[in-house]
Amino acid sequence: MRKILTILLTVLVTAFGQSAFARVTIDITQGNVDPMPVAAPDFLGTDDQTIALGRDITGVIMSDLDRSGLFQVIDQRAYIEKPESVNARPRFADWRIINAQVLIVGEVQELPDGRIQVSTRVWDIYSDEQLGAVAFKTPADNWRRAAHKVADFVYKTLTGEEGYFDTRLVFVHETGPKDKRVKRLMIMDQDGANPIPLTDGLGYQVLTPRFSPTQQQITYMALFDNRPGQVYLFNIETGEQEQLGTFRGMTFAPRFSPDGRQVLMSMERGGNSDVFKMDLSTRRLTRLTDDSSIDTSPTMSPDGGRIAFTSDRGGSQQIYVMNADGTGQKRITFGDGRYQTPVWSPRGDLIAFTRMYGGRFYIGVIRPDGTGERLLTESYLDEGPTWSPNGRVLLFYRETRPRRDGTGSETSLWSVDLTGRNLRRIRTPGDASDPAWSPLLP
Amino acid sequence: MRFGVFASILFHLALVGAGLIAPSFIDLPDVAPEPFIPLELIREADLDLKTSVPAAAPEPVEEPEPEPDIPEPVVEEPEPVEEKPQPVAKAEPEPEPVIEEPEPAPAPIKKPEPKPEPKPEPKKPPVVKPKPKNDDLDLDALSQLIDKERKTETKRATDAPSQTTETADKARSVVGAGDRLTASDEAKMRAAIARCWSASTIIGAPEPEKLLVVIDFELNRDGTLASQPRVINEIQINLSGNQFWRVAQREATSAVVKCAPYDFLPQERYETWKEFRFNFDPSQMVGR
Repeated sequence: MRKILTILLTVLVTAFGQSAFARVTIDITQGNVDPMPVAAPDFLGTDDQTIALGRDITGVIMSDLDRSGLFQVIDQRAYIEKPESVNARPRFADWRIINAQVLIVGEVQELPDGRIQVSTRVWDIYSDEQLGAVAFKTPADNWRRAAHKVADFVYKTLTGEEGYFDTRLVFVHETGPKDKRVKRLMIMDQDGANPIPLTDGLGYQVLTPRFSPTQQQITYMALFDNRPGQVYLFNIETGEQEQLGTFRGMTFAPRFSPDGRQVLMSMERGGNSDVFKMDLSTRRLTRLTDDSSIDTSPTMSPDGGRIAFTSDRGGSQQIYVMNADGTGQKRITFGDGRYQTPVWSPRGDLIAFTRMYGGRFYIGVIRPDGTGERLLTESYLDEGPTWSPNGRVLLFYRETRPRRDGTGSETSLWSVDLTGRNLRRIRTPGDASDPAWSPLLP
Repeated sequence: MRFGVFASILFHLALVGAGLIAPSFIDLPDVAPEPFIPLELIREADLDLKTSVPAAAPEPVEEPEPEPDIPEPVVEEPEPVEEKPQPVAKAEPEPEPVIEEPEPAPAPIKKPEPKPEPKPEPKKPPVVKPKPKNDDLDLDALSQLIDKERKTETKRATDAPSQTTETADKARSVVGAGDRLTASDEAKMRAAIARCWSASTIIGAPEPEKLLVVIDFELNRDGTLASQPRVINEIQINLSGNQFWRVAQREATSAVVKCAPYDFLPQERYETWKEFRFNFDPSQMVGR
């Protein structure tokens, strides 16, 4: 019996000893943050029209992915394999040779009803497997949106978060000399295509447009020569414009709540301004702050629970956070200079802001609890940050220093990743300021 | 009674034993995520159908017709996707072997493995012997303090009533042969993985400190992968429903595959680097 026990124990000890054999454990904390190499041969077509469309669609997809800064599209001239069908398995070895990590293969077909179908497959070159497939049907002249949809699909497949390519930007288009500047609202695709003026020939200036997160609607402040500025609503689809209440004082700095049912704004009365919210269905105005200082620029957290705003109650303009009913006001920034235009990220984890310090302007982000402040950009004048719908990218406007005579200053739109990488200028027709990013299009 | 009690003790011991032995085997079979692929594809395709309504541009808003049409054909599509690739894959085994020539290679290498192993063992003791002879006691004491595994070994040694200098030398030889990865080999490994681990898509993700991916893999003597890398916390990742974590998992696995062969690791120290566990932790890379 003892022998059996001894044998058993020996077996146990041996097994334990073997399982404890040293597997080398290494913590990998540094990776390659260069853009991921992606191959995208021209989408296939069956006739001249679909071949040309395939080439155009591929161009838009490549441009979207490249602009995101997360992907680098490999030059098509380096490709060894020329895919012949969207349904064939690629020769992965051919793509590994050119260091592609992901392959996008697509096809454009003309349907009997005259529309086109854009089919796409995304392949992982190193695991030899398909990561996803998608197809869209649309009228042929709507091919750009189909391309943006495909780019969004690829982005989501590779990053795990929604893309932002099928979106639009509203901005203030500026023309004319500095002393007689004409500002009007303009809308365009996020890649700069299809710019369309929304307002024209108006007798007032338009400032701080903000997109509704749920509808094709914007709110902005209109500035008049002969009366105080007021907050307006504007329906992009119908072109209808509506003043949000009539007040003796000026209303300004409007911004939608995340559910699109309320507009937060500031109202000025007798030199003092406070934060209010207006219910869009009842048009009832509720006061949220009551302080002798200037409280303005309210922005609501995506869960609707809190509001960030700026106030100079502490001596300089700083960012404060409070509950959505105005209680629990707490200062979260304590840096030198001034903080303004806070914007709560759609993800909820960060608040973007503009900071003025030492004669320079910065766009930065900070956690809602006041920790982790990071400055992402710096220039003579950076202002008006707006988040991409996925909370990954910030858009803002930058003004260059004017000459001594006041001329020569340029205003343009720029984007930057929330990690501070990938600073890029956005193409606009002429000078542009005050950008507002739309939600993903329906 | 006695027999019953004894049988019961034996049974329980066997159970405990099975529990101890099991962990070393449990890792092995979870290598096959392939069955997942078709499921994921179907799900993705379906999701896309729901979200991929190709609504018209600013002008063609009036055309909601595409919406009903889209789902049907798109559903048809993904299905062939899975079916087609498979036959194609089977039909085209010729191009693949070209790439995966290393695969057949490792197989034969695995077999010779046991043969080479015994060879180095006899070689190692003589190499190490000269060192231990100088300071036997100090080294043993140190190794006991430092390494738990060695503790078990020394325990076994002390259990033995009469320990010859030969056995002591043998025990020492295993220690002295270096059962740890050298610092330079580890640095080389880190540098290689840092290049292969594409982290650009992860670093902007929310709460990157939660995206830890633990991967085990084994290497052949020539530095090629002996098996596909296994994601140890795969279940946790899948259950979390965190899309960013899944991406992190894919990128980490891809990095290990992409970096192979690890032929820069010295063959003579194969025993120190044949099994790895990598903890891919993106939290420190994020500039926040």
